[in-house]
Amino acid sequence: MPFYHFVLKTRDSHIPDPDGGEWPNDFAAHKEAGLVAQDLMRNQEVKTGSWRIEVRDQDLQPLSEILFAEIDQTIAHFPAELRQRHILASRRMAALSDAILALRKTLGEVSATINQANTVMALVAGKRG
Amino acid sequence: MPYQTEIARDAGVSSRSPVAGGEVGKGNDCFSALSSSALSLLKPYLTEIVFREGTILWDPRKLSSEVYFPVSGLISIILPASDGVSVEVGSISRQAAVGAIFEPGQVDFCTQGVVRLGGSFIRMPGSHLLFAAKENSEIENFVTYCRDWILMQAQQMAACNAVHAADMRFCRWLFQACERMDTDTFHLTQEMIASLLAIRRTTVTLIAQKLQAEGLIQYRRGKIVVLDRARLRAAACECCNSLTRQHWPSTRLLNTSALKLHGQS
Repeated sequence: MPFYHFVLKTRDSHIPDPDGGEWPNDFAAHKEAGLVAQDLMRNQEVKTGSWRIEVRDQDLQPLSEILFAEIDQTIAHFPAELRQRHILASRRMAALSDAILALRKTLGEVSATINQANTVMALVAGKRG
Repeated sequence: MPYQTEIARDAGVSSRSPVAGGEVGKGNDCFSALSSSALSLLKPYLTEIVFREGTILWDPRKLSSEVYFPVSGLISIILPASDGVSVEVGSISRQAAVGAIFEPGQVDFCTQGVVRLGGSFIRMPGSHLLFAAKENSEIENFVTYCRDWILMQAQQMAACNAVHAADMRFCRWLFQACERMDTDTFHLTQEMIASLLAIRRTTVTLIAQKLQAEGLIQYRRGKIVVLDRARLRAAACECCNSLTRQHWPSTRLLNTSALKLHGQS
């Protein structure tokens, strides 16, 4: 049976499911992701609208993604146009979160590189002195 | 195996002075809170037993005739649904007892009693406990407090399951288990936690990973270690503030004893 992993993407972090699990096919894994999203968003739909769950195959290659706002049943009674606006806003918020996370990661890497460079420069200066 | 010697040693019944929750004897805390005369009515019927996790103590089709006093284990009161999903509506550790504490025919049971954390337990026939409750006011109080505890938890869990988010309920369960079991390490599989909270196993994995990334717990292969109990409580739902030590049957028994002693002096 094929093996799948899930990644929860919140506003602050991307959380992988390291153990993964077996599902009969991509559709079943995607359906599982939807059920997990409903578990996680229940009673905190507003906070989690921009959260996503990504389904990955056994090689950790992305297969599909579910935006929580898209399956939020608490807004099902709203007019379609309003629902679409909420979904669009959540999608933009998710993109912004991803950009901020990527920026944080880059800043972390730059900081590590500068620290490394400082260490090397100090060693070089020590040898010259 | 008769439990008389162990009870006498662990419960410290020679001294009836009320003590704080964390300092009571090594057995079930309720025994420490009973007077020697009340305890002597129960002692002949107490038996020590070890249960592994997953042991079903009762279910709607096979009611228990025994009362169980957890010593180092934890019993979950589970409400099973027909589609295989279940949810916990209460848990009993060493501050209380559960099982046949209701008069036969008084309550229609729809729950299942499952040993969630294996360990040692003391049991006795429910009929003897209920008979002793009619003879002795302390034991009557004890039975009442245990019934109250189950009812209070059921009420709280009903609200919690209805209005609180899965990650907050996970934190609440873990924090309360820390408090009641007086430990920060638990052997719990993802499936067990999923069945307690009526959520998917994958959901449990993702929540545990999130809490681990935040430094609240360490989770690996069925072993959870709570690293920061204060932050875990902060991450839990408000239910943590509702069912505290003062509601534990053992604490209520101690308080009742203290009031009685104060009234006599």
